[in-house]
Amino acid sequence: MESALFLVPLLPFLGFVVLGAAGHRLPRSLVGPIACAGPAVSALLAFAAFRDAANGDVLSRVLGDWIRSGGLHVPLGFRVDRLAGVMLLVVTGVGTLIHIYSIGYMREDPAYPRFFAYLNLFMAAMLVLVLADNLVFLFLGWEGVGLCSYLLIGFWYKDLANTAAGTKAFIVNRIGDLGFILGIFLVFVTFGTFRFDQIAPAVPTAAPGAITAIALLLFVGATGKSAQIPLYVWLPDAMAGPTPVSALIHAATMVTSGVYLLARMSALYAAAPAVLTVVAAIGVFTAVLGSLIEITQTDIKKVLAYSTVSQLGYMFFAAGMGAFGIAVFHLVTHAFFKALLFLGAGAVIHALHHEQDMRRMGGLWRRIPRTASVFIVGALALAGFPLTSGFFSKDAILHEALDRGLGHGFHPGWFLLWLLGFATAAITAFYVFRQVALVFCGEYRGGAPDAAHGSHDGHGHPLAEHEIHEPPAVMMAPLYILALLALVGGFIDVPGFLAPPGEAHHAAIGEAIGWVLGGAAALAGIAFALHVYLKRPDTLRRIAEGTAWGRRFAEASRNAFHVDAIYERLLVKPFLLLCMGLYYVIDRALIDWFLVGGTSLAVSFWGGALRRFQTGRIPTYAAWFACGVLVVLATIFLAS
Amino acid sequence: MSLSGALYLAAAIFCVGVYGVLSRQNLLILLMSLELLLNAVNLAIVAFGRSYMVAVPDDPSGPQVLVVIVLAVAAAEAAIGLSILLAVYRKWRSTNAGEIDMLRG
Repeated sequence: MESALFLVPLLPFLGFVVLGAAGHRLPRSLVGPIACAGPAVSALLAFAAFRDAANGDVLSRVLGDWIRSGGLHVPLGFRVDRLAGVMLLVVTGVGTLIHIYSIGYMREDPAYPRFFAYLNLFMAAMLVLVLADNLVFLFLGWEGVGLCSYLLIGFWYKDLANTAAGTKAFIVNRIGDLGFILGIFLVFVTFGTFRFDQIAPAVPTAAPGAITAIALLLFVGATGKSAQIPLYVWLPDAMAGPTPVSALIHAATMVTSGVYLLARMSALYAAAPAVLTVVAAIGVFTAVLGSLIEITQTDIKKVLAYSTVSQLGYMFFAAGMGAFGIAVFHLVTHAFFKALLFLGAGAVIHALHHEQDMRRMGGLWRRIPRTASVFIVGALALAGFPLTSGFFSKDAILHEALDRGLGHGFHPGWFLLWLLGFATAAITAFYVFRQVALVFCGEYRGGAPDAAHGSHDGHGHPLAEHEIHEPPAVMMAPLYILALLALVGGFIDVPGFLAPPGEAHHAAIGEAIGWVLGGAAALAGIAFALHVYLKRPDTLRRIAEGTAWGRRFAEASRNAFHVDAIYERLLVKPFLLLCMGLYYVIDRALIDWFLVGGTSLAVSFWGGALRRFQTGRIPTYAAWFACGVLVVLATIFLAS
Repeated sequence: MSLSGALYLAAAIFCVGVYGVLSRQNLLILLMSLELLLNAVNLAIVAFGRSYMVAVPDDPSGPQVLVVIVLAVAAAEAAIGLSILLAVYRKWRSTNAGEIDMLRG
């Protein structure tokens, strides 16, 4: 199996090459199968690799040197341990399902082959990220997935807003990547190697200051890729891309690579407890912020995007408590149910011909019951409904936090973080069932065209209710599989599987208490959402419009707490001003005006002056010739 | 005639030639002035050659050969100059150097 590891990323890459080079010449019916073949075979190989790694073996294979220069040595190496094995399964499994789903979802799109080419390239880059045995090779995949994210957010590039969203994602990620690169440099300075299996044993001998700096810098990279405060702002905008992209890249796989990075470097983070506390705090605050924004969003995908931000916050919360196994556990279950939710939302959008505004949905349960039921399964899992996958993973996180806060004496900091996380769990349940209520329950609100909110241009007229149909089987099949995984995925003991051997975890507070609390939060949130949105629809309006704080909160939440505007004012505007200044001073004044314009001015001046000498008349030339002779003679006489 | 006298005469003729080249507009006069320049130089060479032969009587190779070469070149130059003059006249119906500004690149 070791010798075939390189095939795992190579197969999707071949798909990218074929589709990218010749996709538009192939018949459409062939494009989808070709695109799905790479990830599907990779998934089989990944499963074989996982089975080998599950025994505790570490598969590794170095194909050769990528960079060898003096003391700098970057091998082209692949490595699968249990952590990478789990990630491999998630990436290839969910990835393959989403490829299949895309065959149906993107059927109408003129740029069908381009879409699959990008998607395959993304799979290749993501698998490089997961399989890399050193930081630099991992960074190659890291940048590769960032590139694909950019390309796919701006996939419908004819709309300027989409390209702007893609650019925003790219630039925000660059900021994080700067931290990552500096972290990689510092790793090399400190350890002299990039290989994970050589870094981990060297951690105890390294200077604590260097460890802390590396951990912090790598975390900066992770906040960019995994959409944490303060760099989360790109993810909601990334919903401009096609929905399968949102499911695959911006929910299930790429955005979790920050968590994967932390888990990969867990030995290093374990030696930097201060950084871990920062990670946990950032994670919780992101979770809270995301969930507060979600409550008032009206775009079906925006809700899920902020939900992703919030759930990623949970993962970092877990990672920040040193519980990397639990973080990856939540990563896995989140991949299942968030991919399911996005694909379900995609099915709704598909059925409504690209309507994304939840205010124009409602009552869809009657028309598309199968889509509705799988979506509700995903919603239950996200809400943490007892015995679904999200229930186990989220409660594992909260239980860990509660144990830290109360289990060994009262720690106010950890208790506060737990409280925030716990409240967020209830809010999560509330907002996702608000979404369910708005989309699937009540009466259909999209039939009549209304002046306040026209349907999106180019997507036709508002649909009458009877025109709404279930998506084709090629889209439903992945939804069913993901729904099954979202239901039972929590019974897989990922934390136990990933825990270092021989290390038993002793929690002072029983797991049952965590389950009861988590289940209660989920049920309360669900019940409250269904109650206010189905039974008493005007309750919330009374709060949001009747009270001053309600108004203020609703307004702030709708606008995502004006973070974009603050960034705009604090960072973007000054930066643009600086650019304008440099443009006018350096570009326009110095280079264009002085250097370029000055050169041409000097040439034309001297040309104009010297032109007078060339009259074309023999007597003038003769006169100048005589003058020249005189000068030469005078020089000779004066010199001698 | 002493050497210095001959040289003064040559210089005078040369100056006349230079004056002619610089001041006259007629191409024919210009050519004649050029001849004056050449012959002024010839005169100077002949004068130098004579004083040299007085100083070193046995040397068979004299500067006079140089004069003959200059004369030959001058003859060739006159032939070409006159034919150009003829062509110019046919084209412009004029031999006024000030009117002809074809020597501009």
